[in-house]
Amino acid sequence: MRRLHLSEAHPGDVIAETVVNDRGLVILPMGAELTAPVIDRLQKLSIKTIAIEGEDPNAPPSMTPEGLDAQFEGLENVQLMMEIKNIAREHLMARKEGS
Amino acid sequence: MKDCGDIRRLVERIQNLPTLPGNITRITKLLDNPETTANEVGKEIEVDQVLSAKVLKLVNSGFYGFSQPISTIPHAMVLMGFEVVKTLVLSTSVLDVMSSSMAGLWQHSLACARTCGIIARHLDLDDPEETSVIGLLHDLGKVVLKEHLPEEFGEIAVIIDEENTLFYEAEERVLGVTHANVGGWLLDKWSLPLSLVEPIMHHHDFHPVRTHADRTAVVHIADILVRAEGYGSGGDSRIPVISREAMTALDLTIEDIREVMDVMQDEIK
Repeated sequence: MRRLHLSEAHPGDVIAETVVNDRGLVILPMGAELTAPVIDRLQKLSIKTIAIEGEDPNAPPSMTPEGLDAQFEGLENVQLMMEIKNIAREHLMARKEGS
Repeated sequence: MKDCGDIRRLVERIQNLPTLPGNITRITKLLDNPETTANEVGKEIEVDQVLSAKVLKLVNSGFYGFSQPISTIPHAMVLMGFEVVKTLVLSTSVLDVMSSSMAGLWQHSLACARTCGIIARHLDLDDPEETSVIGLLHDLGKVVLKEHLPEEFGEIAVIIDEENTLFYEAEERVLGVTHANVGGWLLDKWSLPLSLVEPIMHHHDFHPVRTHADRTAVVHIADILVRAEGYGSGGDSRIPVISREAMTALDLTIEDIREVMDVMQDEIK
């Protein structure tokens, strides 16, 4: 998910967080796809920022097997942490295969 | 490391945190009255449209995992409870900064909130909603440090970068205190209950004899599992070791941890 100024949004972006107006009423539900008319309407309603699905270019890079090794470096003798690392590695591989 | 006088002045600056606007103080008083109904508080929050929109945005941010959007404050109060909505009302300004300018920490905090809820439900603990909000706020102190002590925050970042230390180790060297202390002080200043303050204050130094040891253990473990799974970033590249005592306090085994991590894998995007 990434949060951006409405002016940076494009048709086709998918809403990752419900958009509410200043009275707290839901304008767009999570999962809705933006279209040019919808973006216009949000601008008219003075919505400034929205959250959309997808990676944030400013966010830290997603976890890699090397990153996982670096994170747990020095903890080789802590059995619990090594078991957690193994589970995290299995999950990481499953996510990679699924994407 | 700075000398004692410096640290004390820093701490005093940290304690001079933004005071709450009048409407929030009014809402807090209302929330403290056991006879107040969800509807009354909902109406008071909804009078302030900006606050109301911000709270609904938080409620719908996915930290708790509701599948349907929550569109009114009274609905949120019924689903999440007074204490959770009150905490969200108080922390909107800090969480606003986190979600707009600290993307990695925001993702980490959302995932930690979800994981706290997953562990609480796995263990059938009371108030999984409150435990989730503890996860959401556990690193609040980092936002306070970045906003109010930017120079020291920069020094901390340099130490982490150059020496590959944990965030709280670098903080201890620069400030003599950590974001956990700072976050705890802020929530305490806002008069939030010890059941929320203590787990945040001690999420990096679990001790079984504290009053809210269970919740402290949950957030301590959730924070580390979220780092292991790589959701967002806590601001460093290393991982702290899970306290054995925290595992014992919750009677958790590695099999439980695996089940929790499997649910995280399924539920957290």
